[in-house]
Amino acid sequence: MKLFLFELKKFAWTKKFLIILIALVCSVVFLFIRNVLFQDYAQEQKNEEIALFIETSSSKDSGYTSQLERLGNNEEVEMKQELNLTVLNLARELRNVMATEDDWKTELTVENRLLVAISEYKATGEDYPISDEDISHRIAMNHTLLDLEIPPEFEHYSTAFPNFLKQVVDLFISYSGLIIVLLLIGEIMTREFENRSINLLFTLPLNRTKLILGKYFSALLTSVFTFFFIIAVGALIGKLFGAEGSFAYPVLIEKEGHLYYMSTMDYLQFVVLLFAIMLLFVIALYIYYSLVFKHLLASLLAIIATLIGGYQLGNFINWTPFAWVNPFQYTIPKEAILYQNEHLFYQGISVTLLATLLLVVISILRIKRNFN
Amino acid sequence: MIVQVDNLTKKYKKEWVLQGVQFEINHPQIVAIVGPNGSGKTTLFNCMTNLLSINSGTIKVLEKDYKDTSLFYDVSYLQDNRILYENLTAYDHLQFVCSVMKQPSTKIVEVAKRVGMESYLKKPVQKFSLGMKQHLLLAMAIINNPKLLLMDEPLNGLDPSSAINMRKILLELYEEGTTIMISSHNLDEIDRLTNTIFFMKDGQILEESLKNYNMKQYFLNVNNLAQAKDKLNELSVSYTVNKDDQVVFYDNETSFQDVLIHLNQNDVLVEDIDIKRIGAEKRYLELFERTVSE
Repeated sequence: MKLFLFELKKFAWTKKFLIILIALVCSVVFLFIRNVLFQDYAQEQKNEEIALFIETSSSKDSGYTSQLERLGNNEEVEMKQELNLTVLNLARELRNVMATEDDWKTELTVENRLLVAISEYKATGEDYPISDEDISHRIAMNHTLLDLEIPPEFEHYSTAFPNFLKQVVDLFISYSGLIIVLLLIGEIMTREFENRSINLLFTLPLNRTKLILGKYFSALLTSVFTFFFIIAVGALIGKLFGAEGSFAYPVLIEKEGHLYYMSTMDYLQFVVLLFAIMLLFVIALYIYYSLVFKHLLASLLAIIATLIGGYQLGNFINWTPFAWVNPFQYTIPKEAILYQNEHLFYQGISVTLLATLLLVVISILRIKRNFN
Repeated sequence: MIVQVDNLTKKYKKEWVLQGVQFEINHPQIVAIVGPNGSGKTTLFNCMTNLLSINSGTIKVLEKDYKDTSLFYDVSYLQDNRILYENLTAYDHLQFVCSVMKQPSTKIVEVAKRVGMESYLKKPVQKFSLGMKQHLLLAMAIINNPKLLLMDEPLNGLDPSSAINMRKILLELYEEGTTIMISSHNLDEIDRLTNTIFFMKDGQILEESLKNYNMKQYFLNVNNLAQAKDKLNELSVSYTVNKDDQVVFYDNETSFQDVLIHLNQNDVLVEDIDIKRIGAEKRYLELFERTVSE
């Protein structure tokens, strides 16, 4: 406990820690302001997409007309023209609905009809400026929103509390969480080896096991505090300045080739859970590397290379059982939840926890062997 | 038995730094470790505290194997100031060491007063001067009233008054029964602290007691330098003349008496005498003359 408190103080009583916290607050605030400012831009992008559909279909219609004039009666071209006209009409209808009515349900219904029509048109082998994946995702999302009676939000520019919180968690935990952890704990042992301050601990009546555990848990607590802090700042800003929104807002996931949805609340819980498991593993791995390399840069490079390598290996090997033995699959927790086609998101939990335990034990044995 | 080192060897890459080091310390005393840079003084301390693995030999400290971490309740090692955490205060350091050593927290202020660092106890180490850092290291090392205190260059960066204070504390600790092993290049200070010196040469220790060595350096101001030189030559005394025209020679007290009588009898008036105890320095020069000239 004495060592744990001392280690905690070493983390927290630094300018670096303060700067990281301030930078995180600024980033979350900046994200919210950006979302507010980009509301019109997001709407404009949607309008531009519809305008692009109208322009594409109009041009394709002219093309089909001249083709028919040249070829005479041709069933295939006539069919394509008919499907394209349906798309064109629905796109125009959607544009009118968006311009005149303030009814999101009608908008989503028309949008889905448009997307279905585009899908049918693309099934004839024709090109259209929207991918099949995008079509299927948007149809599924619109259906779900209509079923749940939740108005849609702009995915990347939402100011609704739950959606903004999800964005904060995605950005600062899923994507950059491990970088923040390494910034926080990077010097945990390496700097001590480099400037020999570790010798202070080695010349005190301290048990080597407790030394590793003290460092491990203080690093863990500092990281957990930082991420709770990020979530708290995101929640506070979202709650105070954002729209109400709903935590039932759907998040689409791909699972074994099908689309499902989970609520934003469930999604947040799963992301935080998987990140917490990855956090346990990464801190253990970093402490082990610190003991091996005893050098800040070497340890950082080693852990970054290991995480990227392990994650890429998981993507490369699509063999389902591999997920049971790959502890690197939660490097980006969001991806593990959203894409569960080859393996399910929980498959790596046990191996990650086991690897964490092994790394801690190996680190203890190593420090005992070298310094005992 | 306080320390027993037997046939200790330590190799760095291809170079043997310690080659069959052996010595024993059986009763509380102050022992100085003296030797040129790279002679293995710090390595010896690091091996004794298990900071470095050894290649062969045995080390016993306070009747225990040196790898036993519980030893550090009774053994302190004052290392260089890089072991301090820059962002933490002196108080934080002392509080931590105090709690690990299972000492009452009142010891923090007590030891800070003893070392003379109460005024900057709550300042972060990054604002410390070299001397202040040495004070903190000393405070950390003595907070547990150790039975054995290892000190690696503790006098580095100390101003004269701090050096005097440190000497006073070390002598007090010695009086209280602490064995102190101190490495230093400051031979004047060593002379003031102890007669027992381990000279380190070629990775080995030459244990020396300078108790009977009586090495002193005499600086004589005489009224007639030329005559004084003649008379000293008659006595076959080995001497030099420094830039202040002082006659300088090393000798024991008996021959010093002879020199004074001889000069006096031959009408050379000794106007002033300055005596410096230079046992460690003299012996060091004898042992390491080749190394120094190289």
